[in-house]
Amino acid sequence: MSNSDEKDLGFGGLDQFDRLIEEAHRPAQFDWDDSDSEEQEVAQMVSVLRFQVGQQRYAVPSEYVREIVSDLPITPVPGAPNHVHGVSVFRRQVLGILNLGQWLDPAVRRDEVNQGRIVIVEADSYTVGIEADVVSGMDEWPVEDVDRGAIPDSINARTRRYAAGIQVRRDEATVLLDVSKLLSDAAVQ
Amino acid sequence: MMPDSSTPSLKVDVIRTRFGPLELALELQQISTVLDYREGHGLQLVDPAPHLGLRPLGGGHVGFVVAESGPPVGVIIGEVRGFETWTASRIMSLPKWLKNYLPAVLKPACGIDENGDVIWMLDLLRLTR
Repeated sequence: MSNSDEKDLGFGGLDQFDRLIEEAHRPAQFDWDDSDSEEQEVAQMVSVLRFQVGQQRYAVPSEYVREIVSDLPITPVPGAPNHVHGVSVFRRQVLGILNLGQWLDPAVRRDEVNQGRIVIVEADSYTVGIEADVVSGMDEWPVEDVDRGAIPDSINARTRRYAAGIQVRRDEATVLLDVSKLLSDAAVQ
Repeated sequence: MMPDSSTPSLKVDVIRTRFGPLELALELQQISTVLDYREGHGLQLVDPAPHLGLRPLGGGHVGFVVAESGPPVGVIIGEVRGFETWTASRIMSLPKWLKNYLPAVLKPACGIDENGDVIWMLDLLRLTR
């Protein structure tokens, strides 16, 4: 490397990577047009997406769900805590991928998910992928079924903290997650 | 001094390396020489591994980084995979909450390769400072 090259390094200022980053930092957003979204008849029913992580069944209000994708390569993030599985690039946007099972029940060891799906949810300023072993489908729940007070003590305390409600059918409990609370906590801790 | 304009034509030559489980990119112009790890043996080397939550690799290549002052500093850079020229289209913004987790020796953004996989950008100046 010549001396003239060394002078161009910009010591004490921005280096070329910094300039490239600045130039690239026009984050691509999901180009969803929500303007024509029709008012749903949500007065009596809650539309949810149900999915499974390990043996635990969860649901999220469908209004937070952007997309469900599979076969998304995940790159680990150096320095990230265990509940952040990594990042994936999807539609020219880098998404953080949350290991929900690890976040809600860190004590339980799980096998690596090999053919999982990623449920992309968006709340407030966060767009995050949640790993799911099985996506069970959409459902409509009666509002009266979504009762936070009905969450039994058998559900662990951490899950209860992020539960907006629970529905029990044929002895199978599905926890409805408070997506906004979940993302804001899981993303900053 | 003329201000540097951030034009869309800005290009950066990078060295791509495989550092343990991580794909890394380093600014080529910050590196004067690349040696085999054994050739760098006996020299005092800076190892990014602990900063990246990894164990020392014990192999690969050593890059000599042009220091802010003093002689070049040897840095373990992993296995060199090749050389590329990047434009801004190769750089992706990270979600703000994820940037908080990144080690200080990585730039707060990432590159993507031709398969859409993530490449971390090593901040050599910060590492050797």
